[in-house]
Amino acid sequence: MGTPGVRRTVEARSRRGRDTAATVLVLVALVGGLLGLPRARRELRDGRRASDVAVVYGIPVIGGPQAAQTPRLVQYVRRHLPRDSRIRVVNSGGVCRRIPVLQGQGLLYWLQYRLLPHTLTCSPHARWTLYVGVPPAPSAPRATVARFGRDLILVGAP
Amino acid sequence: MIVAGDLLLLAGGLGLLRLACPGPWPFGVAGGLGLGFLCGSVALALATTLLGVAGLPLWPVVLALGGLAAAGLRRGRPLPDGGRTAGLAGVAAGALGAWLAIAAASGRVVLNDEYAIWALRGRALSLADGLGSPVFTDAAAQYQHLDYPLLVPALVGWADRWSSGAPEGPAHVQVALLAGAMLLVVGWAVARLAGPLAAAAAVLLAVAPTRFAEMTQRVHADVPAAAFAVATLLLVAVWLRDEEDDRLLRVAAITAAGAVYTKNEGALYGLATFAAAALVARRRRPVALAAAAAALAYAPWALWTRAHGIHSDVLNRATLRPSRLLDELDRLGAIWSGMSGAWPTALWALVAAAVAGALGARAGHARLVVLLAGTVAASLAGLAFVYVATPLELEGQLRVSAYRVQLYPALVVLLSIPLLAGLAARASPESPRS
Repeated sequence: MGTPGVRRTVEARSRRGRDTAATVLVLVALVGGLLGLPRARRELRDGRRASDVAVVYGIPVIGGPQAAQTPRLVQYVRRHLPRDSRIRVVNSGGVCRRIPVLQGQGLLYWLQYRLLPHTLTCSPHARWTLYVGVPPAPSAPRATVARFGRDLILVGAP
Repeated sequence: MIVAGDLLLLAGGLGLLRLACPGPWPFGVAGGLGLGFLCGSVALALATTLLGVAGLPLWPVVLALGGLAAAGLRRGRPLPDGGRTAGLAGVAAGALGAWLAIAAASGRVVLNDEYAIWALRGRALSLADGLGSPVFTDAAAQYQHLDYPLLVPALVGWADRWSSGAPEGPAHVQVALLAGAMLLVVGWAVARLAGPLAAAAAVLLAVAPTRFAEMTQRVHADVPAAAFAVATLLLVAVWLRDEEDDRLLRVAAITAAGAVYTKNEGALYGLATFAAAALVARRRRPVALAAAAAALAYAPWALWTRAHGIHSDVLNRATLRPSRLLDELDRLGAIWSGMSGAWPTALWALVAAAVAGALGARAGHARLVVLLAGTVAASLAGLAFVYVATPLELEGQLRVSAYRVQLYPALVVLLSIPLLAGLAARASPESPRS
């Protein structure tokens, strides 16, 4: 409604206001980003703590005190089983029931990771059977039986 | 060895970038390094997948990276030009990336999803020299997420080979390097669009999402998926400015393929980004072609999993029955509560992004505002849908995954603030650009 000169002035003011608000917002974002850095540092420190676990035979141990048996098992498997052996797992849930055993959910997955290239399997044809938290089935006379504490027993068919 | 391996990966990525992007180099130093590492990771993952699917040994992957590097060099040395504006933001991104990578070097595989999924698959890939290990196929033995593609396992597997027997730290470093690459791309893209100050703010804000730094220290696929998706979105955003340089969309297709090759959420993020881009683009064909190329790259893995009877545990014929989905809709309240609880700063971030969006739209960048808002909305809607469909116990799933899978939308919201505000501060109303 006003003259072109007045309209230009109003537009210029509006633009200046927008530019100022936008610049302030960029600065707020910059300060917000800077303020976030100490938290990132804390997160990294906490992450390092999470990795700071006991190491037995060069193997980090997770899952509580009972799981400390597992590095011996891993060492044994690496030394004595042929590469790419398949190991059948039997635990309190039966064959291939990956319910939490020992302490810490997913411990069998952890064990699987450490045992590679050997793999855990459900196959009844596997030569090796790992009994986790359950007594082993009677084995043949010349079977190999390796005990790693009460909870982990590895039996190899002759 | 691991340093040499990563340099080869970077050189191969730069070669691929050069092949996709002939002519004047638009990425400067920061964008080039960031996109080079991302593209190199995609090349590594695709080559590993193709050889694995074909039942061949994996050593030719090294030849493929070397070949890409050589082919890129033949096209001419990448020379920095307009991308130099990243300046301080590029330096900050590099420094933050190095910080994350150095911290990750002491990482060990101690978390469930590391040893049950990502590190397990990576090490199996390396030790079996392909997909021959039962870890990739034995559903009866309850190996998890057999459908997950191979980008992170390939990075872990090759780190395993290149580090000769001390794989855990290097495997963690690969994930942190992807985060660093994303920061470099953020620095380049935001500097190019909105100036160096906004770019510096964006780089700092990219480290701000809750538990982001922590997540960069894990061999999980959440940070990689977000890194590839953010790079894809920013490439699309730069292209959208004038819709002239379709080379950017070619590179976006590569980074989107990277997102798709991380995990299912990566595919969702890519889809959300391209769908939002198609909504606002004047030229939709190049957007559709980029999306199709990313989807096509997934075909070998999709065919292999189908051939082995492998299906997603979460999204499959049983869980996607319409009647079941309708029954599960009453979970939406719990899903909203779980997702918003996992993103405690969402309200402040959304308010600031809305203000920046209003300023950006008034300054003539409404299409970019819609691209960013549409990407966030589609990503969150997709994630909510996955939670509706999941057959797993919902509360536990939300607790362990909601903060991780929302990383991408959280990053987009945070990056929108300096990007749109910076654009508004720079814009001349006489010449709106997007």
